[in-house]
Formats: sequence, C-alpha cells, structure tokens
Amino acid sequence: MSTTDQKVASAISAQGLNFTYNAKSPFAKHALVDVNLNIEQGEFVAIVGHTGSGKTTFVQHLNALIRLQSGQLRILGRDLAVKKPDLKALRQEVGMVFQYPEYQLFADTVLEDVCFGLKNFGVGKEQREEMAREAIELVGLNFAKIKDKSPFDLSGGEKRRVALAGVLAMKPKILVMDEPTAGLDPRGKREILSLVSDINKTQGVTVIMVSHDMNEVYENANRVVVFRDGQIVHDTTPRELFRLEEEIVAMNLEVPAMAQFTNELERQGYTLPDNCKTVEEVYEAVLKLKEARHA
Amino acid sequence: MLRDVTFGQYYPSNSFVHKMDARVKLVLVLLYMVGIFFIVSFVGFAFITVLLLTVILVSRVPLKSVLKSIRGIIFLLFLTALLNVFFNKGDTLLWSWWKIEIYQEGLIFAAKMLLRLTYLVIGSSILTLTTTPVDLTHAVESLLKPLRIIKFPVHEFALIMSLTLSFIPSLIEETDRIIRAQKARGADFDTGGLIKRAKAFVPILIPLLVGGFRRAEELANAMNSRCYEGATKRTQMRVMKLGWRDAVATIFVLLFFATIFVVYGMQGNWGAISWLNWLYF
Amino acid sequence: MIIKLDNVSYYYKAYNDDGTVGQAMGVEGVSLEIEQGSFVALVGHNGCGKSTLAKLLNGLLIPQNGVVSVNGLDTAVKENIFEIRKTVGMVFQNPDNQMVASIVEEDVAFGPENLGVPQAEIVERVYGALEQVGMAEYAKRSPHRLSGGQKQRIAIAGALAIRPQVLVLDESTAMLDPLGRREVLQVAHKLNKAGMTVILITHFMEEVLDCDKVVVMNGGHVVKTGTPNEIFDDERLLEEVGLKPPRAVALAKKLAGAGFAVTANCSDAHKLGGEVCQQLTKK
Repeated sequence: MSTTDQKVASAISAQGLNFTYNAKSPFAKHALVDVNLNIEQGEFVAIVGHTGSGKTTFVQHLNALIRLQSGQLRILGRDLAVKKPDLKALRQEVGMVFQYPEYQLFADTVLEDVCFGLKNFGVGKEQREEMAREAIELVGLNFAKIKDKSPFDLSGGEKRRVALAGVLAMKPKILVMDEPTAGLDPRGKREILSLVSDINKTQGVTVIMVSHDMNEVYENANRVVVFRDGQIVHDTTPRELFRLEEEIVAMNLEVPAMAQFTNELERQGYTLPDNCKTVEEVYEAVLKLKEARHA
Repeated sequence: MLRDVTFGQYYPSNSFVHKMDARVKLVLVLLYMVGIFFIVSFVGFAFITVLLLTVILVSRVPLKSVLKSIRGIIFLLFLTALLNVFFNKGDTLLWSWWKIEIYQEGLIFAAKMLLRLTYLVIGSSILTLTTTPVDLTHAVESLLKPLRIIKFPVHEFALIMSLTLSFIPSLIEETDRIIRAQKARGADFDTGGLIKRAKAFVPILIPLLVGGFRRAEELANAMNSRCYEGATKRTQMRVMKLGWRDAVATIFVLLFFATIFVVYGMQGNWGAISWLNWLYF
Repeated sequence: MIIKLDNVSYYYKAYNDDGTVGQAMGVEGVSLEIEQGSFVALVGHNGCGKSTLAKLLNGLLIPQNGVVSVNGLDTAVKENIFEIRKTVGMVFQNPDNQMVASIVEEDVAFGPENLGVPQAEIVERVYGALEQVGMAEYAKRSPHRLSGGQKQRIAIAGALAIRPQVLVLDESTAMLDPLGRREVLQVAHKLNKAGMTVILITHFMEEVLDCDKVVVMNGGHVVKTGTPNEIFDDERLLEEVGLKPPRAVALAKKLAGAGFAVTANCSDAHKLGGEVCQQLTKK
C-alpha cells in the first residue's frame, strides 16, 4: 500500500459489522448488530455505552484482536476481511491501550518495557532506544532518571504513563484506549487527558477513547458514538448528545454538569456557543452574555 | 467468552439427584468406581448400563451432556483399548502379521476395558453435572473431618479449594486481557521454535505473578478485616442434611451391586475377578 | 468519639537506590477524631497516606508512633484486635480481590462464621445484610458475573454481617463506573442515616458533597478538616493539594465572584443555570 492511499483513506471504515459470541450454542450472544461507522483521520472519538453494550467488542476489532465474523472493516485502507491480513503492520499502526495498562508491565527496566513493542515489530536496537526516549519524554517522564528503574517500583500514575509510552513508542496512527483514566486520581486523570488531547492535536493521531466519565467525554472528544445492545444508537457531537438529558439518564449514563447548566440556559432562551464545555469556557461565555445584556 | 468456571460442567436442575446430599453422592460414586472393577462379564456391564441410564434419567441431565464428558478423552480411551488388543495374548489366535498377533481373548479384554473406563468417566461426570463445585468442596471438607485427629488441616484445605474456585474466573479474565495487550504490542505466541515460544510467555507470566501477589495482599487484608483467625472457633452457615432421597439412593445402589455379586457368586464366578485387572491400574 | 487518633505516624519499610533498607512515610503526626454516627470523607491524591490511615483504623497496620483507639481500645494491644475488627468493618478497592467464596451468600457469611455465630443467626445476619444493600435476590448467584457496583455492595454486606459500628470504604468506588459509584454511595448514606458511622476514602470530590466532615490529606499529613463548603472555599489549599471542587461548585464560585447572586457552592447545575437566567433577565 502506498502512502498516498493512506492519506485519503478513512482511519476506520466499518460496514455491516456483526459479531456473535458462542455462535451456534445456546449461550450465543449478539455483541454487535449491523454496525456502520466511518472515522476520518485526526478525529477524537469517544465511545460510550453501558457494560455489555458491545463497545469493547467493537474496539477490539480495530486491531484484529477479535477476528471479523461478517461485514466489512477497513483500517487506514487496509481490508480486514481478507483471509490473512498483515497483523503486524496493522498492530503497529493501531496502538491499543487496555484498561489498567500498568498491569501488563513485565520487563526488568522501564526502557526494556517501552521497547517491547518496537522489538516485536523489528525495529533495530539503536533506533528503538531513540523512539523509546521520545515516547517516555512525550508522556512527561524524565528519561535519564527513569529508564533503568524497575517498572514495579514506580507510582501508580507513573506506571500508567510508562504503559502508555510503550504504545506511543510505535508511533501509531490510530490510538485506541479503553478507559485510559480509570482508577487514577484527579491529577492523574487530567495529565493523561491533556497528553492524549495533545497527541491528537499536534500529531494528528486519530484517538478512539472508550469512557464512562461523561465529563471527560464532553470536554475532550469532538464526536461521541453511543452503543446499546450491540448497536450504534447515537453518533454525534458531545454538545448535541447531551442535550438529550432524559434519554441519557434512561441509558444509565450521566449528563455532564456543564451540559446540564448549558441546557438549562438554552431552555430559558440563552444560547452559549457550542464549543464552551469546560468550567472556564462556560464561565467566560456567561460573562459575555451578561455584558451583551448590559450593553 | 469465558466459560463459567464456578459451576464447572454443572447442569442446573431440580431433580432427585441434584437434591441429594453432596456427601452421599460423592461416597456413592466412589463406591461405584470400586464396584465397577469387579464387573468382568458383558452381562455385568449390561446391568451397569441399566443403572447408569436410570440415574441419568432421574437426574434429568440430557444424555448429550453426559456423553460430552467422554469426548475429550476419547482418544485416550481408544489408545488404551488398542494397546490391550495387542498386548494381551490368549489361546485363540484370530489374526497375525509379522510380530503382531491378535487373540480373541485380547479383543474381549480390550472391549471390557474400554467399557469400564467409559463408565468410570460417565459415573464421575454425573456427579459433577449434578453437584456444584462449591457443594463438592463442602462435601470433601465434611468427609475429611475425621482426619483432624491426625492434625490434617481440613479447614485450611477446604478454604484453599474455595478461594481457588472464587479466584479462577478473575484470573482467567486477567490472563486473557494480558495476552491481548501483549498481542496488541506485537507479541507473537504462535511461531518460532520451542525456546522462542517459551520465552514469549514471559510477558504474560510476570504480570500474572505480580498481579497474584497484589491480589493475595488485598485478600489477606479483606479476610483479616472480617475477623478471620483460622479454624479455631468457626461455625458454618451451610448445614448439610441427609434426607429421604439419600437413603433411597444409597439403598438402591447398594442393592444393585449386591444383586450383581450374588448372581456372580451363585455362578461360582468369583475366580473370574482377575487380579490382572488390579495390576493394570 | 468512636475512633481517636493521637499523633499517629506509620512508616513503611523501603529499599533505597543503593539497596539499603530505609523508610517511606505512610502518615506522620496525624491526630483525628471520628464522632459516632458521622459521615466523614478522607480525600487526597494517591500516595497522600489516606489508605495507610484506613488500615490503621482496624489494626491492619499498627502505628510506630502515637495511639489509635477504637471505642477506647488501643489497636496496638494484640488482645483488642478481634474486638476492634468487630467494631470497624472495612471494604477495599478491588471487588474481585475480597471475595472468599464463589456464591454470594457464602461470601457474606464468612465474617459471622469467623465470629463463631450459631448457624441460624448466620443465616439471619447474611440475609439481613444483603437486604440492607439491596442484593438479597442475588444470594445464590456467583458474584463474578455481577457488575462492579453490585460486587462492592456484596462486599459491604460482608462487612455488615459482622454488625460493625463503623464502616470504612477504602477507595471502594475508585474502580467503579459512575452508576456503580452511585449505588455504593447511596448504600453508604442509607446506612449512615440508620446510625452507622461511615468513613469514605476517595479522590472524587463529587462524593464528599453530602458528608458531615471532610479530612484533606497531603504528603502523609492531615492538612485540613472541615465541612465540604469550608474545604471548597479554601482555594489556596485545593490548589496546593491539586484537588478541584466538583464542576458545578467551581462554576458557582466563579459566578459568585463575578457578582452573580447564586446559592453558595451549589452542586446542582440546573438550579445554578436557573439562577443565572433570572439575573440575566432582570438585569
């Protein structure tokens, strides 16, 4: 595949995706039902839904940890419906960060752990260390200080970042993350999110983030896909989605506080710009409204 | 998706057999296992077939589920039978080629061996199909109680079994997740020589081990917080009660075997219980 | 005072970079009093010492300096431990790691069984406890197929079956999704209304809203104790320890600062929106 092909190709293009666990047995469970989704390169997409809604199954399709049962799936133009897709090439392009990724650290040193993926993908030793250094610095850790430490001696937040570096080192074009902030304290959450946001904005990496934290979805994603019972029931912007308060609550999801506030204002005839999502942004917008009224 | 290990191959139902006391079931199955080695004639096996079919019918477990239990070891069963065909010599030579000789006696012996092993597996799987692993654990604990006299740590033994059962599902999940995560980082578990493959498992084993210690520590804290101090003055919520079903079943099985043996005895067939069989096992 | 900490310090054993054995601080010089029947939140970042403090409350850790006493019993006295653990029930972070049995009712029974409670009473306690957390219908189920919130409620039932006076939730909501967190908090507040002393250890500021008292920890020390509003009002402190008030509260503060008359520390974003609208209209 040539690079020009990749430039025009969608990051992800899924059509008629179906998946059944334990097919042909009485325990058969339809995890995905006719899923269609197209994601362009450079998007920041949040995937939300209740446990068992099919979101994890979908996400695992993206680097062929789950093999396609039926339907079409193209990742960066690469067809996954073929008999033997090039898994190595695919997995190098689609970085996958699992829940609690720090539980997968294993090597003697941080450097060795971050290099694990690169080594598997056949990157030479010197280049490997250079790429690992870049990744470790990217996640905000001091390379010289940390590279020879045992990953098991680090704090929880540091471990998470080392695990993230292990994926980022491969310079993936698509970054898939399953609840990357779960279990972290607020500071750790903020750090990881701003890091991910940064990678998305400055390097154009497509980010797909599964999350239960609607505040975090609201403030970071520019598109939300909602799964329910294996189907996509919403595919829209966060602002649009969280206008539907009753429906969101009925799905056992939360409505972000700033969305509630903005909705209340809209209900009473005051419109804030759609891109005001954080406390600061909403506050500034309200001040402007006030000034406009008084002027 | 992962199988529900907690319930093993348990087939839920409310049948007579399901409702029996697990201890009685365990003892009767052990009895059956011993008894089956005394069966040496095809007539005897016919009787056992009737017994098994009756029990399966009463337990309301579909025959298909019962037969599934032998599927996994069918190769082993036939291999054993085959070896018996070749290595048992007798008087009536049926067929020979080069050094291989097949005798009628060998064939018969092998057939009986096949039946015996198959029935052994079916018998034990009826136990596991109708009894949850939790109940079995309690049964084992209860039956082992006399061993306390010789200072055997019965309670600790049962606790280990119970903890293992409750941790297996999350361990399997964790293993599954680690494998996927390392695969996503390009790990390859399927190609290369033996040493390369063995090495490929390090990135799975280490996180599992580290996770195991973490779990163990949390578990210890949780147990201590809930006033665990060993077996000394513990009581138990679960009471195992013998009921009429247990009496009926015990009498039934005992009578069954008694009848078979009396029939043998009258025919003067006791000698036929070859001690060779014992040697074999 | 049901629990009293007097100048308590605890240090972990740690290995220095050169391989020698040194110390790492868990908590240092902590004095704290927990009133019977109160709902106290202990907040702070990971590594601030809040979990160490939790483990000091029921004698899982024994302080090197100072005294922890529960109902007047010193945790450092070995003979007291059993009585202390009967008084202070504890639920931990990972629900999967505190299940001792693969059937819900048997797991809940573990505590009373350890106490040597007679069989009939165990059943009563187990079902009573499951009833309290709303999980009675799951008594015969296997816990591992349940949701995180349900598992944690079972863990709470396991603690309740011991009939403690204090319930410590040691980051029990940290691994749960928002729905699960809500379930656990609802149960905790319900128990508190019925007289249970609850100590909630968390790093989610949304969870401290309805508490009687908030204890903020940083670097092994208690840096501030107060009502939620007092804590939210101390911006310098929050800045210093890196915590932020819940979003709605933060907005309410900013708006109040800009001259809007809004309910102080209002956590209901809709109400806040309504108040703002009123003032925009009347101008």
